[in-house]
Amino acid sequence: MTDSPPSESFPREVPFQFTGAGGEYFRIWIVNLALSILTLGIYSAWAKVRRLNYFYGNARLEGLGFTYLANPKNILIGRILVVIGLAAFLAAERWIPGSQGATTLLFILLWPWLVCRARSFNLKNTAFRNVRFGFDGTYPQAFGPLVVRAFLTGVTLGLLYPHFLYARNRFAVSFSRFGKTGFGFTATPGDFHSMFWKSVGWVILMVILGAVLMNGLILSVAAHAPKDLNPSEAVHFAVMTFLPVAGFALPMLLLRAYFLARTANLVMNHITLDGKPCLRSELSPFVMMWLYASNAALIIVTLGLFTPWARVRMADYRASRLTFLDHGVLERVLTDAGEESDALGEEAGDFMDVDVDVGF
Amino acid sequence: MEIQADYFDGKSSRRHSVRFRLETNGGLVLIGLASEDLKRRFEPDEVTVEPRLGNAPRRILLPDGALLETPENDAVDRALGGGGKNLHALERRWRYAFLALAIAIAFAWGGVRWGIPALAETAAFALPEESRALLGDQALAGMDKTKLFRPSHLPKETKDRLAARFFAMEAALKTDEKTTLAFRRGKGRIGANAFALPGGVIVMTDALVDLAENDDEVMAILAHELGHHARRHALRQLLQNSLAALFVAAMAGDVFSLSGLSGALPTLMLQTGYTRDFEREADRFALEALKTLGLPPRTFAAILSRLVASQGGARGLSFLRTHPHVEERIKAFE
Repeated sequence: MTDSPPSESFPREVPFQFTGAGGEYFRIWIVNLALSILTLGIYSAWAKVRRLNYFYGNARLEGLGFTYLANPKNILIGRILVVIGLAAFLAAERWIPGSQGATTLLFILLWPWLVCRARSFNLKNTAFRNVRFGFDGTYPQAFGPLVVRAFLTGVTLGLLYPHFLYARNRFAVSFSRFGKTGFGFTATPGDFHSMFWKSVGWVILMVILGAVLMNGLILSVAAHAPKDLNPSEAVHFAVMTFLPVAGFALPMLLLRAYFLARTANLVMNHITLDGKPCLRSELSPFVMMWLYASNAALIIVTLGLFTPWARVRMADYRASRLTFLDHGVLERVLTDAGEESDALGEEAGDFMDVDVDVGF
Repeated sequence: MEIQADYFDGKSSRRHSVRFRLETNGGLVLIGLASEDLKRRFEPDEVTVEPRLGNAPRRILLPDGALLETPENDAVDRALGGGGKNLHALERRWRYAFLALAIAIAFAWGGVRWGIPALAETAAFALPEESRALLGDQALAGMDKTKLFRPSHLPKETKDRLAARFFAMEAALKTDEKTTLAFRRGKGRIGANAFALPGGVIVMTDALVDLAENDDEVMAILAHELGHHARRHALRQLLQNSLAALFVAAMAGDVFSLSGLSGALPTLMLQTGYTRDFEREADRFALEALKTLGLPPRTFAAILSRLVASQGGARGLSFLRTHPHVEERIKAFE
């Protein structure tokens, strides 16, 4: 319940650092993108590993970086398998009428397995100080947090969402380890519920702002519509220009940034390594909102070219607000001898965005 | 030359501060390693220097899972004899970045301008007859459901005469797919109009028939619509929209999700481009059709001009709004 460190040992504070630069990453990103295009997509697996390694390698603790060790060949095979699987899924829907229900159910049942495989692959292929991370969550353990909780959230019209979030994060963290040393999760469902209740004011404000912006944009665009349209046609015209949608999307983006910061803080601050709290996260929701909004605006204005700088900016800020609390564990973690796992889970997870987000 | 690094033995996370030297033959010597039972000298085939990635720490793999990690990328490159031809050499220079950018833009532009229409055309002509006919029925039913179209007020004799001539023209032009000719009275702003729905349904409004001076002019417009049908334009337009959206989403998937909205604007702009191509194609078809039937091309120009005159410019859902750039096209037919 309490997460203050034992009084006889104060942890050594080790701040995270991000040493990447926007211009440098842009060059790497665009060159690898061009190579992916020239090889009709085959190189993209290697490009992905290189891109991730740029962010892993430049994330430093005491000057030492992280590494992403996945084999691009496995990722390529995994991607091909995912495409085949997706094609089969769509084909089944087309030619076997009524199969949509069955395939959806199958997918729901498959999802915890995908999450376990994706997370296992991701962590097993991440290393720090030449020691790999690991993940030991199994399907039965995943089913409750991922499927049952999601179902309960839907059934209660979202009221149990904080508990769902708690369950997912607890599952993801408590079965992860660094070498042989396990992570733990000390937050309670109450922590998540209270975070959401405290944020209700922001939710209401952003929704109202979104509605106001959207309606305002509809009216002002309609006022500039071609003169020969009657009022209802003018409104239709305004909606078609997508500007009102953008007007609503902006406050929603800000809300997402706000929740990302608060959730990351909540989760990180309750992670333990070797039984002791190991992280301190101090993200400011307001700085996060500003970063999201300014990044989005610059990305749109530059038709996507600003993306590398945006990513570096975000990584830099997140690292600057994260500190590792070392109780001496960094020097004494033992490696765990494990088998290599293939990439199918990782690619499936990546493709359908299923990896459980623990804030990084 | 000695390079500063950290040594990790592969069994624990313990960090050993060391220096190392890379020999010219590719071997490696560790200097200043405290523990006696750790190997000091490595043969070339036991040493793997990882390729450079910007200024991220450089890893050197040693046997039994041991590792050297050093931030001194430049020193390592010098020891290896200059770095050589590798990915980093490309990623370092801005000139290659601009070249890569040009390639990416060319690909995006080419894909959207030519790749997507080519794909849509192949798909549209590959679809079986039954599914297209089904599309046609649904399209007509859907159109009738909107209160904008009412049953035609043209006398039966007129409709029969026009239909007979239309199907004769169709037979003469040897467009081998089945078409349906539908007469409707357009309400309010529809006015004089004709269009081809996906699936081979060609619709013509009473107002257009009234506007024409003779049957030849009606046939000219119908020939143009037949061109749309023969080239499957409506279907291709549908497919192109979806493909463009998918393409933009795939490219934008590499960026933050909000910028997906910035993809909507280019897609919208693309539609007008595609439409111009389709109109030119249908006009070409109409020109050929008129020649085959022995009618002067001026017939089409005449009815188009009359449309412009009667409606005083593009308005509402008129023919001119849905078939843009009339002036240039009238000229092509004179």
